[in-house]
Amino acid sequence: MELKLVERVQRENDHYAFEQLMRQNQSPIRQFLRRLTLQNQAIADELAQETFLKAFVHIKSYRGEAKFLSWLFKIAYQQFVSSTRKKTELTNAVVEEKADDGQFEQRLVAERTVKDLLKYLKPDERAILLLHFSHDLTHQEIAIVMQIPLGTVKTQIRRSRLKLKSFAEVSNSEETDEK
Amino acid sequence: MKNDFLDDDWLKDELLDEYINDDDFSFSVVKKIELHETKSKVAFYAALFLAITLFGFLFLADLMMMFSGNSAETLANAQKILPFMQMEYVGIFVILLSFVLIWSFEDFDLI
Repeated sequence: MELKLVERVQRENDHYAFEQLMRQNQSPIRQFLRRLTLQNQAIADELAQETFLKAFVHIKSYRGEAKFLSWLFKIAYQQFVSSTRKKTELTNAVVEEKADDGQFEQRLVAERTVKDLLKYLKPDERAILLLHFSHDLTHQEIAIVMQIPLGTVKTQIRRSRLKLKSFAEVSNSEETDEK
Repeated sequence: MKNDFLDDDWLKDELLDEYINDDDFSFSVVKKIELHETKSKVAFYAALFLAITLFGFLFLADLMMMFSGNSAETLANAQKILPFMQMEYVGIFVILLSFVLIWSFEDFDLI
């Protein structure tokens, strides 16, 4: 069904078919970008719109080898990476605070969910965990989306989840101390 | 906070986000697509218009003379500049370009 819609857009430049494709795929793309931009919805949605615009313009280069959603994730991630070059404060602010002092630990204590802890990871670590656990992409698909070697994907997933675990331990230990 | 980071299913549940879907988003993107298409068309029409103007300037005088029955020796304008050009082909080319321009205006609702 999805492939037929893609073919219609490729063949006839069909806006209606592309709108259907957008309805089917907008949620994961927007969720992904919102998490990457630390829940800055305005910027995330702007990036999502740019992603779909770019997808429409370049849809002829999609050959159906990967899932259409993976292809969209690749564009979305590229959009995000190029936007972070201009707006570094959006993605690195929380991570950079780690270098400061004890404030980082204090902030961790205030966090209550795993989603909250995500913002303490670097953008690429966040992306890799989200693609794998939230959006069910395989290691191979993530390697294509993020344009990194397969081995790096596996290592990064393990490292990032351990990092999250250590953040949660700090958060939990402080909670226990308070009690 | 529960700490089960080595359990894939638990981590998946923890990272799950609410489903987002609104028609405004798709509508905005479609508008952007239309704007993008219009912009790229405008560049195309501008180039087409320039091409027709240039060809008109270079060859119109010659074509007029040719169609009004004057002999090839009296051809004045472009034949002197570009003696290798065949006026008949140039004439057909200019007419073709004009048709493309008119068709484009109608087809893409530019006017």
